[in-house]
Amino acid sequence: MSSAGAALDALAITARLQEDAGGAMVGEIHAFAYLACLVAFYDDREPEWWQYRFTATAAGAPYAYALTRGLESLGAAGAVLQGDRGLVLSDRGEGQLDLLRRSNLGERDQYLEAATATALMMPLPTVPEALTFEPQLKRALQWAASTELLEPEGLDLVRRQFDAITETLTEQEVDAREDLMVPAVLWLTYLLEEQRRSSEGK
Amino acid sequence: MKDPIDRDAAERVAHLQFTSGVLKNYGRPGTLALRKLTRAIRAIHDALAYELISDGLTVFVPLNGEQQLSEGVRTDSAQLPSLVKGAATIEVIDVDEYVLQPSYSDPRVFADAAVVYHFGGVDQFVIDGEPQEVENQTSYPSVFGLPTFYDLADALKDYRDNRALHSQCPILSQCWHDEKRWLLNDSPEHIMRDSLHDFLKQTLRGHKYIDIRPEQPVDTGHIPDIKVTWTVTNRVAYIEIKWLGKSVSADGNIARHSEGRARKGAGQLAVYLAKDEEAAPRQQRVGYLAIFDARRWGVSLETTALDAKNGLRYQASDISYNPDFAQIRHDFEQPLRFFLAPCLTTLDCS
Repeated sequence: MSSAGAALDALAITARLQEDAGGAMVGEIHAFAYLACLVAFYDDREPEWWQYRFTATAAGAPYAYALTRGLESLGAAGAVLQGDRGLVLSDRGEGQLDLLRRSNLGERDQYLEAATATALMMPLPTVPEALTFEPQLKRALQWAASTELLEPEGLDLVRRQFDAITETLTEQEVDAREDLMVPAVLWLTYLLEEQRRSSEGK
Repeated sequence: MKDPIDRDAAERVAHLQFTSGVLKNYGRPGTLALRKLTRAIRAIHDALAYELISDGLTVFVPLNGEQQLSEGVRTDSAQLPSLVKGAATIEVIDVDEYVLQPSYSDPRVFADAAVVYHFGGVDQFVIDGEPQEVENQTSYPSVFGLPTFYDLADALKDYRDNRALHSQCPILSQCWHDEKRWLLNDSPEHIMRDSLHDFLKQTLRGHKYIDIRPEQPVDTGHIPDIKVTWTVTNRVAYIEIKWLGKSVSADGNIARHSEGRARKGAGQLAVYLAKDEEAAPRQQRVGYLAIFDARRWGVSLETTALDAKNGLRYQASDISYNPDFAQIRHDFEQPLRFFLAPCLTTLDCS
């Protein structure tokens, strides 16, 4: 488990949601970190590369203990503060984020940026909502049980979903990896569309 | 074995999603411009009511950030309401720095050198040289015009002022027996519940989708209308909905609900909260009573005219509660009354 990786994730997500929504809610930090992890997986990073694990809560939300610990440490150090609209970074937090981005963990930031940029293309509450229809989280919700995420079977289905939604771009000789925000938005929109069609009985 | 991928959904999304269109047309410089564009569109929709852009709004970000493509007035979002009267063409310099022409432009003319958004009742981006509509599953005209709320109380107040007062929500607008919004349809409560549920699902941050849903049983015999649960915390909110006014049944009978109905709802909510406290003592709970108030004075099926005095008689008429659970219980919030205004002139109904 990498505490530095989790700290970078928590700081980077908070910084971006602070800019676009006035602050970050704890549940949003877990959700966007999980989305970033899946985007990295789509970009051919092995799940282990992310350095910490996620579980699905019985309520169908992604959760990482490493992020909870990271947020506790950042709060105790005064790097993350409670603002009127969620968590925000202090000057110390901004400095720490800058240092981590320039470290060997900096590569994570492209995935965190792609994940948080999805909230510019669709209403912010829709992103965590769409994630609950991710196959592994959906299964956890059906069983009403806390389960490990990023297991091979679940990841295989996620990869197939990403491949299906980017197929049209590939046929037009457009590389969806040129901007990872695009496949992330397509995938979230697909999850919502699949759920809508399923609930309409199609 | 059944294909676990919904191929129709995947193809539909891939063809209609504007982000893939922008990437295909302009590459990464286009999707970077798109980030700047959507940030600006939100600020512009925040500043401009839909009535101020009824003749069309075009907003664009040049692909070459240095080169200004249009002539006009340098301005920001705070100034827009006083400068825009029906139509606007806006070049985005920065998220809150614009070049404005207060007139309509064909969005296609900028598409060679910019990522272009157009609003003419629906959201569009210019893709492959033509405006392409953005899929919108919300009850707002623009997916970029939705407010988002950190706080449930703020969301409920916004719903009261901007979705319920003039029945702007398309779901809520179905609760009326007549176009003038004088009388309600039979059993309108489920429509009111669905309208509020839809609004919260789209605008409230940090919630779990599955937990905002109607008819969550707390205990046998006690059914709260809406339950909101937040992720990663033990917070939960219950919303009890009641309506006041007159409704018309299919056979033309009128049922009347007055203040007593609101007081009964307060009692029911207090019971919900007490039961839940017993069942889950570690949970942080809060209860809201939401009263949809469609009362008018002297309205019947035979009424042909309604003036402001009678139509708006109850607009500022708050309900007194005895017992006042908001004072007695720490988890019982001050009841919220959503007054549903009638149409008194043709303009009100447009």
